[in-house]
Amino acid sequence: MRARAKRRSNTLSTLFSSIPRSRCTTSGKTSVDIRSHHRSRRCFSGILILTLSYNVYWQIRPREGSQSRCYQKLNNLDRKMMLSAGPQQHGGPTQHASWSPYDNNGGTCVAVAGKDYCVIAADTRMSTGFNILTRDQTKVCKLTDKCLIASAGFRADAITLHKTLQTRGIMYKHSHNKSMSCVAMAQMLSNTLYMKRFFPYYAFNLLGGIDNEGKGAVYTYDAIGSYERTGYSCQGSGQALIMPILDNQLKAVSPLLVPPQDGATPLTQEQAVDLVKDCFATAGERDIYTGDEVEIYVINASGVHKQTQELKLD
Amino acid sequence: MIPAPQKHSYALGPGVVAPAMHPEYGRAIQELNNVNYPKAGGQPFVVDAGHGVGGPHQHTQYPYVTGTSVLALKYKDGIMVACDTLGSYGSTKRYKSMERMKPVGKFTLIGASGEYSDFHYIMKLLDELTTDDYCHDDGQNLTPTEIYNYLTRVMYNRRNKFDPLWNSLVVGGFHNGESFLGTVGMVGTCYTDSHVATGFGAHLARPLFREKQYDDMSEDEARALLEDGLRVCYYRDKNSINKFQIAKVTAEGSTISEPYALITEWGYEAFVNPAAAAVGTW
Amino acid sequence: MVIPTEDGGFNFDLCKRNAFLGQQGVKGPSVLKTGTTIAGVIYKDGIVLGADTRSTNGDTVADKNCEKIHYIAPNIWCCGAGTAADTEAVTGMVSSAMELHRLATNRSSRVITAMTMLKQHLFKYQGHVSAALVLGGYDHSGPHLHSVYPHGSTDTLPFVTMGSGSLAAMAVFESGYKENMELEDAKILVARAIEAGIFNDLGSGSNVDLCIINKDGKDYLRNWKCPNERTYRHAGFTFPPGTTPLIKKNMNTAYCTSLPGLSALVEVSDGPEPESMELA
Repeated sequence: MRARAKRRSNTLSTLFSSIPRSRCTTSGKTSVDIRSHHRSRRCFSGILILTLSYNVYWQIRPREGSQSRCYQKLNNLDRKMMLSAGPQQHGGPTQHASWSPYDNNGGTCVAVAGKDYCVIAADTRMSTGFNILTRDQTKVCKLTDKCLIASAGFRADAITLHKTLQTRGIMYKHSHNKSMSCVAMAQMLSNTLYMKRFFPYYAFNLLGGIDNEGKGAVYTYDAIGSYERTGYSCQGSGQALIMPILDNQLKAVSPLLVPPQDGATPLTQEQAVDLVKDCFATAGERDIYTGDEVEIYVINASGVHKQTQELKLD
Repeated sequence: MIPAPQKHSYALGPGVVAPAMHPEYGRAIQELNNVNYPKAGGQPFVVDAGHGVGGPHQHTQYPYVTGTSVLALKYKDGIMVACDTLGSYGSTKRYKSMERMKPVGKFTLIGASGEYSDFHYIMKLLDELTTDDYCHDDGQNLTPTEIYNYLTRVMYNRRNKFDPLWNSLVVGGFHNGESFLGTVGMVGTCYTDSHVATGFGAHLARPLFREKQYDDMSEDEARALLEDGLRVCYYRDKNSINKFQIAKVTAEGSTISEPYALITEWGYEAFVNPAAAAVGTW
Repeated sequence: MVIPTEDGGFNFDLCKRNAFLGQQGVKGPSVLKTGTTIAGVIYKDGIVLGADTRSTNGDTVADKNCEKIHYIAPNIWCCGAGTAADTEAVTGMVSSAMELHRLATNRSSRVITAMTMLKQHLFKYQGHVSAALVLGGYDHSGPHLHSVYPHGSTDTLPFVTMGSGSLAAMAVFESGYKENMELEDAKILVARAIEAGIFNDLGSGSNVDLCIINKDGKDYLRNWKCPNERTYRHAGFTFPPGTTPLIKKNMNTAYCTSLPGLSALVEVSDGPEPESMELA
């Protein structure tokens, strides 16, 4: 085992050609400090509290169609390593039971911002592979009285993320004697995601709520914290099916306009909810990971209101 | 032998150790004198500190002795959990009387599939917590939900260290007149439901549960359904034996049954000489 | 010069090129898979076959109501799981051969013949023809039920399941099978097995098809159960006139050789504006 690990380390050091070999194979230990690599490439400065061993790299497998840039990066690294060493070329039978730190539990989230309301919705199916784990797992988490988050992707990461945000929201409230605004929460979510830039939360997030002026707000994210305020968005396994309907029906202004215009949809709250229900029914017809039930939360001046709509169970 | 405590930090969370409590880590930093370690702001926290002391950190690379599916469901009086008593060594049926369900406190049960020694470690963590509860003597004990959430964090934190505990756990409990049933996987994937099953049981037993389980079912119905699930798992899971335990948690507390065997059917006529009518082929 | 003769079968000319391209990272086209639940059971007088009706392409549903119970002979039918093209082609080939065989011998087909042809074909292609089949029929020697694996092995059993939902369906069979069932009991059991696949396996879905084969012939019960109706549909999308702006109008006269002077007969004018177009 030790010998094999060392050989892998050498492979890795040839990869990071810009760093001296001795840095990479620290006294025969398997762990390799990738920070020096990032330093040398000037793509990172400051403190990074993440040490990835070679095994770490080896185990992070890219998902098909992943949107995470980090994934792609790791994917490239992985591929280079396979080319230079070959995964099965070391002697003896492969004893290494493989595991991935990530899973994809599927699901879809939709959010729509109106003039004075915000609709945020997600289905309740939690799956892994072709298996339904449960039909009743909420993806939505209330962060403040005016701000909700919905996350598809890896459930364990999403739960951790929700707990972190909730806790920080409470601490903020205790410190400042007021709830965190939706805009501030959006920035904090971005920061929280980026803090795990090199071992990302595999969660695809939508943040919805009412901003300080009482307008509906939707924030949409990638897995590592790039975000944007929009009039509407969709994330998760049904994204490709639902996004075109929203683009067609919500009539929001183009984000390309200068000066920027309010992206909120002109639809009434009832129309928006109706459309969201139809979107989920449609995605449930064609996306195998979306189904069972959709939870729809409407946030407006009178508070947060929840309703549900049944979906197909197959 | 007195077991070494696992050093919980209530402030930092399960399995996480504050900087001052872990001399090895501080020394490692000095030895390396690596420019990339933070010079200010204290040392980073360590998850599961005791694990890597002396020599390179050895991750669990491979599960050795493993248990297969755990099945559980809700019924009228509480929760029923069941599994066989086999400890497999690869595909060898190595240990045939392994108890894979353990009580935690009076009203919670843990059932484990996967690596058996990792399950022992998890039980050690939980024993320390319940011992603390006992010592405080304040009438407050960990609820099933708390134990479930605790285990979720333990499993997830170890996954974050790329050193997972190779288990899928089922947590069943009863508290304040309500039953609780949840499951936690190796990488921290967790959910609660009216019925759960780990491993092969997720494919073989849960279809039956989805068809027939309801929260108000009687104890006899629940037992019959659970035994149906166990029997199917025994028929179709090669790493299983016909020696089962059924446990339950109700308002009265938890009980785990003695091992027993199920009645099975192998004598279908069509199994006797299946190719009798298929003369001429192979 | 010897002209090579075309002797049928697959064409492997591009295999080397494709393997090379694959090494370079080029991805091949995706194929339709019937991520599937199929099952069959022997009852008192014959066979009941069952199948779901979902076909998938990766994570999306390609066909919500496809047919997976294929015709082999009037008294033999075959459920297919795996790559849709393979299951259709392989059952089609065998059914055509069986037809010729019936015409040549003037005898009705035997299940064992179909099973042997299937396994010979599949073994020849070493699993690359990915068809997992449940073959059932009733011939002179009674009811027969076989499962055929993509590599060419076969099982002969009183109840079989195949496809991604096979474990869910098998759970139902293992807990509910009885010897010498009545037809109604067998139909209900097979439908339960298929529904277990539909509701527990994401690769299976939509409706339940059944096919009963006994000495009196076959009874193909297409969509015997439809437990997955759409749950919500809103009023319909309305596109008022002018949704797509008209930038310019231009009418070109088509040149038509067979009808010279057609353009002279046709007068082009703007019609009345429609009130609205509705797309439900």
